Amino acid sequence: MPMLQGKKMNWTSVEDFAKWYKINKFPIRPPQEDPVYVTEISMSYVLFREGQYQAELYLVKPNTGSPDHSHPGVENIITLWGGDIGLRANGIDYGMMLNAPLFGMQCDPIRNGSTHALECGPRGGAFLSLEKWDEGIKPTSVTIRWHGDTCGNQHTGLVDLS
Amino acid sequence: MWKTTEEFAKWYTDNGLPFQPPIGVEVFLSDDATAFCMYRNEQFQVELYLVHPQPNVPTHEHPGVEVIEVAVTHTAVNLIPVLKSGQSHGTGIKEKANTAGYPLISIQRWHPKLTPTTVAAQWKGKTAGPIHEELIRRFYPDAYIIPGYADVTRKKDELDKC
Repeated sequence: MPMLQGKKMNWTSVEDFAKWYKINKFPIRPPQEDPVYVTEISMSYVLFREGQYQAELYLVKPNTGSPDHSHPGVENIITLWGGDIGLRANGIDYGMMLNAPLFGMQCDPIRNGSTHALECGPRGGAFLSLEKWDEGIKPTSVTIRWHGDTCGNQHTGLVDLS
Repeated sequence: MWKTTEEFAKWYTDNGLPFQPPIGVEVFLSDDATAFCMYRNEQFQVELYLVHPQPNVPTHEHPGVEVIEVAVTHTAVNLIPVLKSGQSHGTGIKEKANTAGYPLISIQRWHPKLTPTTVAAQWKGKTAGPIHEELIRRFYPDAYIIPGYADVTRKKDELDKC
């Protein structure tokens, strides 16, 4: 059972974790064993990790996007923070929201293996990926645990599904 | 309202580094860091920088802005003493980023005559590269900017007079 500051954490799902993370005002407690992950379209960093659960911050460059992809063995909830972000997930196109007040808005969970894609407009995009990783898989970054076309050669060099 | 940068920094850290991006927040891209605003209240704001691995952070100043950097570790939040307007920094950031990059939380107080944007554009000193210079030029089209150097307190007319 994961522990946090002496308290037992008993999240049972990614929804559970996302709810806890939001109620607790999005705590920042980086594990500091991960680098800043850099691809052709984004920079990301693990802000919080406890057991198989973690929160990753993504800052996406303006006027870029990702191809359709999935993250085998990971369930995640995307919480949008700002910028111009369009998201397609679970067969639903959430559309591009130019300069929208996105504070804390989140999509439905993206289940293990579901494909999704991201598009960013002129202000780029900032979002959190709140994640639950399957037991037996060491949490790193969903940038690494990626199935599908990549965002470019730099990204391809990071992908590892072992 | 807070009276000093230190007072604001204490409030912000005591309250667990709240995420409250302003409406219209955007991702600012430079050659060696990517940033977005986590919090803003009048002349006080907080930016989160993801410093890229092996950055070229030159020694520089942020004219008209006082800055307190926050180092967040797995167990603690450490405030680095305030950088006053006219003082320089940079070397420590470069050394800390090394090959992995890291997140830097920048707590700021902007001069009353300035509109808070990003300290990456409020710059005096050597620049990080052409993307950085373009970012400064966007906010200060008339500033003294030459390849490798920018000073937003001077005008580009000075170049013509030389």
